[in-house]
Amino acid sequence: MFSKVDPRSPTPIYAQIADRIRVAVASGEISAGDGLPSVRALATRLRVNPATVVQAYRDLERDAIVEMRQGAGTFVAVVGADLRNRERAVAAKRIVQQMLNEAARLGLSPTDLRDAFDRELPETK
Amino acid sequence: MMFAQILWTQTKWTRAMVLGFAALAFLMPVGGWNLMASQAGGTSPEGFIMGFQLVGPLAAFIACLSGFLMAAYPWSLDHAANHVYPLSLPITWPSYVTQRFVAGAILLAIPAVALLVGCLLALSFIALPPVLHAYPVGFALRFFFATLLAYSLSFALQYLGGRRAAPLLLGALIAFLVTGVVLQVLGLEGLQAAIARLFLQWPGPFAIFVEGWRLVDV
Amino acid sequence: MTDAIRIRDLAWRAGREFAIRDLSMTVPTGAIYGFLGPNGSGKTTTIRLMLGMIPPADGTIEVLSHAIPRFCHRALARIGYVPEKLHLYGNLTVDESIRFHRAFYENFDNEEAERLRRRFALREDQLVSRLSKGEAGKLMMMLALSQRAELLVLDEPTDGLDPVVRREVLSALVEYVDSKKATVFISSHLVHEQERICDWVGVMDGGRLIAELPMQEFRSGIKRLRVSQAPAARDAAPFALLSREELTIHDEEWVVRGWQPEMREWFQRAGAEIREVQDLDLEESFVELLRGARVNSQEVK
Repeated sequence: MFSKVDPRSPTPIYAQIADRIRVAVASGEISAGDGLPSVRALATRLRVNPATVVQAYRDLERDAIVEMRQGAGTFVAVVGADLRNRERAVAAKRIVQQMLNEAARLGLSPTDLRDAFDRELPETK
Repeated sequence: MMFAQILWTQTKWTRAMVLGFAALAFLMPVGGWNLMASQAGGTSPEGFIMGFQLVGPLAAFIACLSGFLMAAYPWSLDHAANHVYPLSLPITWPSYVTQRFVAGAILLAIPAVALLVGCLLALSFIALPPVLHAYPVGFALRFFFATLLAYSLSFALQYLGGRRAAPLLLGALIAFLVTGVVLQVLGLEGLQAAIARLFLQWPGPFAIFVEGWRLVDV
Repeated sequence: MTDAIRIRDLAWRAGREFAIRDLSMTVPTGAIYGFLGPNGSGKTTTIRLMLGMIPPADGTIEVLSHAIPRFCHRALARIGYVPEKLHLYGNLTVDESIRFHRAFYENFDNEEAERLRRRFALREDQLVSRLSKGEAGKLMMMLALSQRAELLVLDEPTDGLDPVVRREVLSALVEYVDSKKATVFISSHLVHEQERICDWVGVMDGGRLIAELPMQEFRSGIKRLRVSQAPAARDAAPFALLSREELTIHDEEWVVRGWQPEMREWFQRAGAEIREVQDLDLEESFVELLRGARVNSQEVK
């Protein structure tokens, strides 16, 4: 699940890690009760500052997506359907925002985008 | 223990050198005697003294060379890496230099012991007339002190002079020889002899290399 | 908690010119401090001064509460150092190197050394002079980590290493940081690597430290703005302008430092409009910072 992080991205590394977990939870890739890698294991694997991983896990804990249990590790919390849907909406919004920013930079109009979207969408059914 | 490791690295670096000089020191008394065997005709005291006359200068030469190399070689290894490693270790520089010095001095005892054994071996083949005595222990001790002197001087030169030490030493030697030649050419042998005496006769600093190298004497 | 490294007004020269001057640096305990700077800016010299290997011309240096260079041997007992070039004795084997090294450090962990040696695949009987650059780098890192040092000082620890070895070394470093909570000082020009690991950044240029702040602040503080109807006067700006470039007739591109979202108002009051605010990654931030510093120093002249 965790392949790499991009230090060059404007998104801070801890947010990249947290977002990846959010998407995994929202899509059902990991479910309630599943254990996440230990801070040391994940930091070592990604070669990032351990404090960054802690920040990601704390961020998720604040949003009730994971539970950090002293001595045992970090586990996916029971996430209700509402929360899952909300996370999916957030992830989708992020993708669309990126698309809109990029389009604006290239000088494409919303009509250009919508046309392209309509053209591409049926094929990915 | 720190010193144990410093001694170990010194040993590893110079073991070929130490063994080489030890072998040389061991064989030299017998070799020197054999070379002069023809002149040691008969059983006259003068004959015996003549027979051993090479042994002294050879020992002095080996002492100088081994002392010099034992200082110069390990230093050049350290210097090649700019002494970064010892500088990064939790040891003060004076402490490190002292321990290196002592390690080298300890190793230099080996050729001295080899010389002693070689002398005893050479002496075991001959029967000295009662008027002559052999001084193998004194001889070996003189050798050891001469080695230490050469070692200390070279060591001090290396650690104080650094990279310039070897060329400086060479330059000093050449200057010395040239001065000698010039003085001779100018007919100032008297002055030359006086300068030589200053350095080479007791209590001059280099006296140990020149005087008293007698394995057998009255 | 006292800082791991405190340097004030450090100066050093080779010859007549001062190569390092007015250098003040603070490395907090437990930080992973990234030391950035172009080649020739004096990074390696600063490290040598910090470790007491060369004497400074002026200034004070305190490492792990010990005055340098006076008590540097006391500080060095708690410092793991990995220099740019191999500094170990070439005619010792890997095993002999470990034995030599551990005689000098009280807390040397033999088991850890053995574990790392196996992990880095270093053969015990291999002569140090015959090690490849990657193996030599791994050996130096292995010895430094086995000391269980409170402070690691690393000078280009992964430069010139192939990607596989680089990952191994970085993983071992991250693991160490998590288990020991040590302070790490890394000098490297591999900016993106620094970006992953460091939480503090110190930027050196021309013998001076021109910026020192937490990594997040550094990255988020430098932005690229696309400005329409850009105002002429910039002295009263609440941010530092690092560079300014014309893009089109209407728009300019400004690179600013110390940006806060509230500063949009300043532009609006000046009759300008901000069309876009772009984040820069560490490398771009670093380049822009240097550019700004050099331009400013030229103007002062």
